Amino acid sequence: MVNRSNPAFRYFASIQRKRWGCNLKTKTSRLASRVMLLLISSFFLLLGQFAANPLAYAQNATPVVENRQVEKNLDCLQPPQNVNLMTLSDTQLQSYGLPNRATIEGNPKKWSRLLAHAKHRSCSSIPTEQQNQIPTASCPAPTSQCTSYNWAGNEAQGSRGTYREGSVEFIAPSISTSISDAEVALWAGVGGDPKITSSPVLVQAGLLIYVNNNREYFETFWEVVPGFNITNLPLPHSISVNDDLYFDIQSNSLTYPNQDYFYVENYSRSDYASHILNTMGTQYNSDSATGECIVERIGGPNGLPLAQFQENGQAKNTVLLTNCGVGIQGQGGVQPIGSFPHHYNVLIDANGSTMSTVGPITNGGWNYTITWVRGT
Amino acid sequence: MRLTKIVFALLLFLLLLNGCANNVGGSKPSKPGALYVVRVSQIPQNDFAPFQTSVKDAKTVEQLYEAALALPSVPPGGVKHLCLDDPGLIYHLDFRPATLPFHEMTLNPGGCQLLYLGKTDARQMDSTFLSLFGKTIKVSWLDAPSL
Repeated sequence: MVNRSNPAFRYFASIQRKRWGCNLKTKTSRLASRVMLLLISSFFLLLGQFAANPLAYAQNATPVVENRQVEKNLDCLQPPQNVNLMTLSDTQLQSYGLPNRATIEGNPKKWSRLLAHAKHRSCSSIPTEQQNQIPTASCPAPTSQCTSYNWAGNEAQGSRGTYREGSVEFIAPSISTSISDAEVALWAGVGGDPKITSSPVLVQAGLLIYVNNNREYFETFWEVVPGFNITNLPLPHSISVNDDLYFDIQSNSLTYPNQDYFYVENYSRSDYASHILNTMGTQYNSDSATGECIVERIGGPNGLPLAQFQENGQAKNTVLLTNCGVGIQGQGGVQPIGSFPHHYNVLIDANGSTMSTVGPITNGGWNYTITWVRGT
Repeated sequence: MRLTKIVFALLLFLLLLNGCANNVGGSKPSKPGALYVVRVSQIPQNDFAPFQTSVKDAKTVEQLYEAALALPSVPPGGVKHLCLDDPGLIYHLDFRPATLPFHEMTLNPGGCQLLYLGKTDARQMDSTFLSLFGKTIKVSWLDAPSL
């Protein structure tokens, strides 16, 4: 980098050679003062560069915030314990963070069951995770098998704006804690598939299960992609293996226009939580070209290991997704995903090896299994 | 006289240091003048239709290149959030001249929407950048997979 034929360099070097004959004490003293001068000047130089382009430095210095802490909300209005929640008005339902009347009346049988167990409310939302179907067409045509680096499950498919609501229910599985950074997410969502539409926007809610210090942790979440990173939607009580969990999301639906609505309920503990994201004038409404119930590998082909999951009572390394439904604009509530044009995704790793498979749709179009095959 | 020499030496040192710092930060020895784009389906089963194009408007190409370099880096631990479906569709970007610091990039519009500068420098794209990319190659960024 230094041009030794440069006159300035030779001048500087000759000065250094002449001074070599000085006594050691003087030389050391001068050297120390020069080093000090250089350090000070370097500091100001680097400070100047930072001032000229602070973003370049800030981008490298700012980590992704992943807050897994549960925030207490003292203004969280709890639902009355001795009242049939099915009879509440829209205003009352809204004050308790429950779905509005239009949503409930869209499927009164389901909501009667869910609301009977909606006793303990949480209001936090904190930024913070084989038996194959037989494809009959080429991906992503309906009934086809597609392959994904991060999703396993079924997707109802249509044109943009079709699917405005999605739901799923499952029993919280256990995961193997032998891999320290393994994670898996199980969720319901609408939108987010670039195979089906350009500029996809995914609106989702579900359960993230991850390993930390050789223990498994459960975290309910909502997320809008792109736009909002995974955000904790905590329940009043912690989740345990075998808990019965239900998730429902709506995006710019008739009942929640210009809003994304997220609802999670732990049926086993009578806990629930909800969150509304106002989307008026933003790009955070789903593309709504798909509605899906998915098991996801965090980070895709170069991401985290897929946690080895096991639902009690199911086949080895298998979880059963039940009540997987999607709702289309103009219809109240959700219908079984199997009743809509749909395809399914098999999850593979970067080398093309299968990581998770998808079982056939059963129970009138509502249920199917996902089976873990490998973690990396 | 001695003070003058010290000041002169210090200035020389600062000039050298400044040069080094600029190189570390990714200085631009030349500007991009052309862009060649090839779409690749990484997962054969999904079978996206092949697509390729070139852009030779230097101003447009430079705008995209500069926008790419300005994207935020992915933290060392990688992506920790959930992502769009990743069907293995990527675009290879080849900026010319090849002497550019990052003349080869790989753009994944699905999944976690990452742009790789070279092999390992992952950047997080946003809708603004993807829109600019679409305008630059005159195709909606995932338009007509034509499966």
